[in-house]
Amino acid sequence: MNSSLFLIIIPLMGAFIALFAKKANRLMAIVITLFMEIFSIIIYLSGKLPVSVEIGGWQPPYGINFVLTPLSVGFIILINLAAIISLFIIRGEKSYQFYSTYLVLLAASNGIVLTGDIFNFYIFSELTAFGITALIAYPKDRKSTGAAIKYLILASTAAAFLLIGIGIVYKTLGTLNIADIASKISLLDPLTLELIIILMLTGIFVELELFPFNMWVPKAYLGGTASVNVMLHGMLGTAGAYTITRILLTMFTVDGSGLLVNVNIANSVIVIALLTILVSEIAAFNEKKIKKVLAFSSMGQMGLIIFGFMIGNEQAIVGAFYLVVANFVAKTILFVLTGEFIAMSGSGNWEDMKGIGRKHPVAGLAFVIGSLSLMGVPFFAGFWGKLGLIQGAINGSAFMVVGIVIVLITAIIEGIYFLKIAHTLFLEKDSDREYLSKARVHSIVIAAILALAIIAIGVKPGLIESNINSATDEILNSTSNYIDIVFPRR
Amino acid sequence: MVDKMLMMILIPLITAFLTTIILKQHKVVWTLFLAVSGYLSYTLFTMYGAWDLTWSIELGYKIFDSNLVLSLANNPLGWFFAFFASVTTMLIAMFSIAFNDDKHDSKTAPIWLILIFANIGIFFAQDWLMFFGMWEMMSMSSYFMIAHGKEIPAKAAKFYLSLSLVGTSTLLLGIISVARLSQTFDINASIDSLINLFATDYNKAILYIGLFAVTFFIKSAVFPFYMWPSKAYAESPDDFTPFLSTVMSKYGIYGIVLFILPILQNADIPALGQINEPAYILAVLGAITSVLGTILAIFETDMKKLFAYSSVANIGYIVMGLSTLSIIGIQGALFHSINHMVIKSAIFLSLAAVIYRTGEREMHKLGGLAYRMPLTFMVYLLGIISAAGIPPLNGFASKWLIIQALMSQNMLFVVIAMIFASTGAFMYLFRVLASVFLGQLPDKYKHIKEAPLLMAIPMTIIMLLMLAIGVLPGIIMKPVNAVLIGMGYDVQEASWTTVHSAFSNSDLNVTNIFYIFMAGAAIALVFYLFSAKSVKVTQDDNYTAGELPSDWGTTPERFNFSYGFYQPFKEMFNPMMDLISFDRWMAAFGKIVERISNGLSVLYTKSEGAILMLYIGVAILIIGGWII
Repeated sequence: MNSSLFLIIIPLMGAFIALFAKKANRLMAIVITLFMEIFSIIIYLSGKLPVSVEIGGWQPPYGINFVLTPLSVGFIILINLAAIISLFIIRGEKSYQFYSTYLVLLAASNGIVLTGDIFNFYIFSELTAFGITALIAYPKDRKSTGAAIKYLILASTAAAFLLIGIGIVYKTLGTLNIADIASKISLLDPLTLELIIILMLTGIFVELELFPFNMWVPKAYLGGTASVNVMLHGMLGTAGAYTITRILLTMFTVDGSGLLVNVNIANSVIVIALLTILVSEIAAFNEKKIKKVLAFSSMGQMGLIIFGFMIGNEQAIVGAFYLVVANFVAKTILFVLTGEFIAMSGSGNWEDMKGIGRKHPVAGLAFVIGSLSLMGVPFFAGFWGKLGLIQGAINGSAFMVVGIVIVLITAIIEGIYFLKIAHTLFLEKDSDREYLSKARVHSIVIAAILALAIIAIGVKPGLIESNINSATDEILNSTSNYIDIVFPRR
Repeated sequence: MVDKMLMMILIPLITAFLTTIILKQHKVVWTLFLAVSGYLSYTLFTMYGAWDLTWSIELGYKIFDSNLVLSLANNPLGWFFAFFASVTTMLIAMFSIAFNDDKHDSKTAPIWLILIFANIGIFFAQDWLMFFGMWEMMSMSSYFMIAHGKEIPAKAAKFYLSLSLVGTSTLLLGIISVARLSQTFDINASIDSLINLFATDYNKAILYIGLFAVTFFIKSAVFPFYMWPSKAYAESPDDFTPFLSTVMSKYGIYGIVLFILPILQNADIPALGQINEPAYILAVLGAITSVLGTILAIFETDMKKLFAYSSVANIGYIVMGLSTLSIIGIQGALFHSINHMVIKSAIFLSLAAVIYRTGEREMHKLGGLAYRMPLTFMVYLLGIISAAGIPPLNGFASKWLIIQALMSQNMLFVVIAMIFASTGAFMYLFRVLASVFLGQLPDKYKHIKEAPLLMAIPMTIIMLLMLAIGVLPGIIMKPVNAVLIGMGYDVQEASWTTVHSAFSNSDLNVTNIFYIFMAGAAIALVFYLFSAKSVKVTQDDNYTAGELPSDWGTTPERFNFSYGFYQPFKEMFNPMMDLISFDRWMAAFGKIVERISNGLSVLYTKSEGAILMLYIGVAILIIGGWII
């Protein structure tokens, strides 16, 4: 399994080669990403999981190791899928800087998921931050530069917090290996532990788009092109969701049971998640720029996923994983289509997108399907996530029930703005407006395939049940499923 | 043999996709739509009595340690609603073929087919998951149906959508809460476990029932959610409005009969009067609904809005009937549900025919159409006679049953409300007749033609149906009693001609009433034939009732008294209506959310506060984690 290193090495090498590849760089990026996707699927299906890969033969906790579990490889598959899609929907980008940065981003986001070392994790997350900053700023106009700077400032501040947290871990426990930290967490005195958790959470919450750490989100989505949006959401967002499972649900848990060691902090995280849901859905309600609407909705979904993970019982975690998948697919559809629609109508306002659904019924339908899935309508993938979440929460404390009521109330707001936008696509076109360009067929095909996937999962959630169950099992019994894999001799 | 149940939900769905592809060929599309609803009606007809028909599918998703199953099962109650709904749909579909021509085509057939798919699913659902799924499908597709790709309808539909979403959210919460009690999603099991809950924790049980009730009330427009029909009905496609009013307003009723009624009937709830407290609340809500619906209908100038409120009032009657918890009341309510389907499809289809020909919805701009569209006029006339509950037609017997049931349970105030609403109905029913079909024919409608043949056929069928049900109530009462037997009530098989009532000696042979009525008509005919010849009076002979047309700045020829028809009445009730306008509360709430939304958006656009907000986040973590 040492070959799993390819998942990071190849894109990094590609990033270097892209500098000299001239016009072939897009093709090269596609080939590399396709290879990575196929390779990660092969790893997933190889039956050798879970396994810990010691890099350079240095055994953990002294050396760096990669941990390949069904959970992490599953996330790798999603990340690379988003990467492929984002490459396909690029509009006429030929410069080497773009592809080079993209490949670094790809390597880094794979690294975040694969690594079993917290400092390594820090490095990779810094790398993604710089990569995505460059990509957001890429259109080189005022809007995107501003967004990129804002993101950079926030991400750097967060990174400082994360680094201090890691520093304290190293000072107190003398180790940087995640599995090692997880098994020794009970040795720490509570105050230090709380300090570490708070510092590290601050570090990762910025990338998780949680309120009030997420002031960068709407601008970044607005400033970036459609393909950068897909990267932001599909690669960074998915890697972020993985981060929760590793740091919150593996590292700082009671005997590897998926429950955060400190109940107060767990509750604070839930409060933050609920605040995020509330704020983002309300902010999206009256928003005219469609990309901002989707950005707010991304925040909301992230809040929902974290809420699900923090409830901590099996049902809720299953639900949260379904949400990760559903949100990934549905939001990708919406970002892909939004890119096309904006190019067609020449305006970022959804009110100017009248008639597109009539002209491209498949695209319109896919948009509706994506929205319905995000709203959690039955027979669409998102519903099973929502159901699991509510089921889990209602079995929890009264606090969770309040949370679920908030979730359901915001679902109303979400439904209104999403269907309002979806219906606008089917309105009669204003006679004085002309479409600037045609929608590209391959974008619509991508959206349609993803829409079919949503319906398939929605009608038959059993399709991905075994994968999700193994992921859930890994979180709920992380001692046997994660720590023992890294340290088999203990 | 292919599974009947599966085919019934698959065929509309497949046809929906098929029609999407050929959406431009409106004739083919709407004919396919008719074919599907015909097929459904036929299949349902053959399914009567086959109560063991089921279909289920495993999902591979675990909750309560058991695999989730979606299942459909044939049952008397579901069959009752589904069958009559699909017959009504078939008649509307026939009308739709003619209605959706090049000019009027609303291109909504695929969505409507999905709606029919959801319709079958709701009525035959055996577990809450299926029920909820189909319920959501119905809510979402009806939003697109009402909005149908036009700007103004989309605004009306948004109002409907927000209420629908409130409904689905509460329904989901209710379902999960109840399912947690019974550890399964099975509907019957959940009824049992809720009945048990009443014995241990009364308040909680009421809360759970309330969650379901809110959803059902919203969908059936029971007070306090009575506002949306006037918007949604008015703006929806004209041939879809009958479906909204006849079929879709019954979903809530179906939910109440399916879930709430057995619980109120069987649970151990302290009695209040002859029924119990929750049932009394139901009765009062029904009464308020019917009174408000009637008053608001009287105010309206738009004929579709008027009949939207009229539908609301009728739902009020049905809810009142159900709240009696007595056999007669439930019989009356179920009977009235079907009568309402027939009557409202007659009325809305005739109005749709008028709109099809004139393109006008405001009543005071129409007039005198009885001369140009006699058949449409006839259908409308019979429709309102029936709606007013006048004997030889179908509306009478069901209202009779409901009033009897209310009286027998000593619910006097509710009876007063019912009678007020029934009487008030005359005011608005007649009003449309006077303004649209009688009075002066405006010049621009001089060359209006009768509705086309394909519209005339379903309208005629409905006309005959009204008469047939009126003379032989057994057509509906036999299935109604099958439903009651299925629900565990002790009832006899219904007779074809007689309606049994709550009091002794109050059984009513409706067929005899019809004979008496015919005899009366014969006598009138004799008078007509042998008395003096009729004289044609001029317009200002009696029409203006003492007012001179010049007072109103018009001429005798053009004088039309249909605008502000019930002005004094309106002035009397308006202050009260303003006070309780749910509409306004919702609008105000929407405004507040919009303002907060804008504020938040600004927060995100400004760059200054980003790091400050980050520290606020850190502070939340510190306060939450350390200090508390």
